Amino acid sequence: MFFGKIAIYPYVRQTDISKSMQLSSGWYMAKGVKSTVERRLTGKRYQKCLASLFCCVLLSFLNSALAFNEAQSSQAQQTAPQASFATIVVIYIKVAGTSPPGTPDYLKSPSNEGTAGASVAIEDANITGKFLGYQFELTEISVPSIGELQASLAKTRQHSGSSANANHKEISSNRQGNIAPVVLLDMQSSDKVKTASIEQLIATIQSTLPNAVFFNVANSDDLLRQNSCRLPLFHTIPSYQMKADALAQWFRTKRIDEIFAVYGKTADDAAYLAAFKRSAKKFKLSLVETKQWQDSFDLRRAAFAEIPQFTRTRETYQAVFTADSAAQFAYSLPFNTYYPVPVVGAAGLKALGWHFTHEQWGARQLQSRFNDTFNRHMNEVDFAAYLAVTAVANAAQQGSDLTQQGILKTLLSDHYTLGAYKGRPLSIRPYTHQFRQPIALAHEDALVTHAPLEGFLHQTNELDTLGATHTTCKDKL
Amino acid sequence: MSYRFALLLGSLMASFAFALPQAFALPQAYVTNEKDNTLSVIDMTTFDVVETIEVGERPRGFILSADQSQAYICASDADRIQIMDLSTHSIVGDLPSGADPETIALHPNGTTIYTANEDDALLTVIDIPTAQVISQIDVGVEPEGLAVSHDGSMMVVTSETTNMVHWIDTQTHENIANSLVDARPRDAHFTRDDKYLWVSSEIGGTVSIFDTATKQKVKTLSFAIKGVYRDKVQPVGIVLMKDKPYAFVALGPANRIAVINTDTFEVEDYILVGRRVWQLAFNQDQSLLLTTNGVSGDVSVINTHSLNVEHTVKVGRYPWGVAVKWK
Repeated sequence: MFFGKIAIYPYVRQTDISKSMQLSSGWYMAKGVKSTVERRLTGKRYQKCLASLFCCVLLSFLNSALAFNEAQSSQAQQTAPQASFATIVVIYIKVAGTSPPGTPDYLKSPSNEGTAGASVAIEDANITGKFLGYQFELTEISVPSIGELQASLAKTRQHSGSSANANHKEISSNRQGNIAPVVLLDMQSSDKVKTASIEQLIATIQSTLPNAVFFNVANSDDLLRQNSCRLPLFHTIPSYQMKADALAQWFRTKRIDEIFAVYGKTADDAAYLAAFKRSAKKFKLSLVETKQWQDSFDLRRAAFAEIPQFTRTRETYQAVFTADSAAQFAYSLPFNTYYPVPVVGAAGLKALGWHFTHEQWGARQLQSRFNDTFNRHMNEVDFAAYLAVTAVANAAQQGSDLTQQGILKTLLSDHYTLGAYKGRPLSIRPYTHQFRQPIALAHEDALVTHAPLEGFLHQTNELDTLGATHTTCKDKL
Repeated sequence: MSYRFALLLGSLMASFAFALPQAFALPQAYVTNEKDNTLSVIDMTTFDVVETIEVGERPRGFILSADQSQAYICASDADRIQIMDLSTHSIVGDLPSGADPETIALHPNGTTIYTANEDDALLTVIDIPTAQVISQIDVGVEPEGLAVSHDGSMMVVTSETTNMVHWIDTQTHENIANSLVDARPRDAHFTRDDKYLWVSSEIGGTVSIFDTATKQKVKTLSFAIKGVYRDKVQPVGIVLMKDKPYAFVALGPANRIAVINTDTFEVEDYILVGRRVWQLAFNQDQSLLLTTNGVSGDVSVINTHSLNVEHTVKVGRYPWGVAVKWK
């Protein structure tokens, strides 16, 4: 796409914006939007063109964002913002160590997981933004551990000392006019990164970017949601409870009652298992046995001999549930369990926020935009990042106030909905800040269906048959 | 002797019938099957599929030329608009559509065609006689619905992800205004007098009516169907009757057509049709309305007087576009 990128708007002068604010009626005359690139670059009429949503006081945030980058200079985008467009800064923070030993190469996450989704969303948002006068910019920070991020944040603060303080002053004196930076968090709950430390991390980032809005795009842990009621934090990735409930609905529909559960050694695996146990109770499934995988031998040499032994239980089962976030064993279970039954969870039938085989509801367009750009399939973390940027872009499109308070107010309003290629409008649960959404039930080659499945009803919203629906800020799982 | 002559005559006629397949009984409906790469031809007297024609990959938008001698078919995955001679049912040419054409609209002059390039966020303007692209206009993400005013002075394109109606001056090919609309706008239609524009919003669940002079929204229609969860009410195709104050709106996975009184803007009825209904077309006198039902793979034929579904015709997989030829 030749015009969708950021920072290619050299034709609008900084003075334009003050003249062109026409927001009240909700529609926009864009006399200057021309049809070709050549015209766009040369046309003088643009100087009075394009209604714009916001005053662009964003430089202060940009400074902070770029200061982050000094620690990670190789990934910095050094393009200066075009001051005439309101700029919304998206900062993608990825905390990910190396994959544990034993993960097959073909199951490792792509290195641009998440950021790829965010950049497709930004490209879309900037096409819309050129009609309305805003643009999004992406900055990525990738560190191997949370400690290093904290260190680099501290270093950034020391480094940019006085200027950072100056920014803070500006922010506090002119809070209304300031657009919140959008921070996408990509962090798993592992033994090293507990949910508590993610909350701590948010507090740390807030000391540098006090009015940021956070989106969790990779962590499905339900505990994190339980504690985010009062934080400026939203969850675009489905929770484990939503995924487990989707699988349980499938079990009920297929009249499968007796489940054998296997889980790995990570904190994530324990969280998924805990969620599945709650689902089993809710949907009246019986867990005949629960067993932990011990990582004691290399499966690729011995799977056919070992897995049937490992999955032999005293009582028979009709299906196996697997929780294996680090891809250590679940991949070798399908067609190899002691009782030859379906495998779900981390292998076989997976419950996901997005699957590349989904093409209804216009999804095919998004899939092909993504494939064309990155030469791989879009996964659920990519989609969660896409959704986070799209939620803010949509607020910008509707002319909402883009300060932290403004975004919180828009996203948490009773009638908030968002279209997202899933065949139903998405919305947000008020007490967990979780995006309600259909869950894809898919295997390697095809989408089976989207949950909620037919016949599972809820008094207010069918999507609330999936996941924990807290009714106050203090609810516990 | 005479019977041999009759036999000869008979075989001659038979071979004639094979050689000249244009002896189609009119009226006929044409339906593009998105997942089959085919066109189904429905005899509108018997309501049977009389022919299935292979066309380009992923056929979606389908319109007839003004004299109905030709059809223009958006073969989205083949990146072109195919021209079909409707007397022979053979493809006689292509128009340079740009990538992934989804929908098409014809200017009243009969020689200018507009197509939305869904993957490239462009509106392409094509001159039919010379098969040349006249202009490409930047619009929002995933442009879809197209409509040309009856006087030919302006046209609109809706963009599904940008959630806008882009107003285009057909003389200068310039984008003259952009109006925000509810989530995922799909279809657009000008009223006969060109005073109003109707736009459906699939995820917003509404139909918006704009004043074409001010480009302002003047009315928003929403739908409530007993027993159908509101998320599933997803308006797509719109048609407006010529002589009566009625509009029909396809409601997607609600599997219903809304019947709207265009004087009062009241929804007067909902008609149950096939699964995930999206596009609509009338026959010549508008006594019948055809709907393409994507998921159930069929076409419902509605009597517009009684509002009953009179026929259901099984076609190919994912029927999308539909038009009726009577000339």
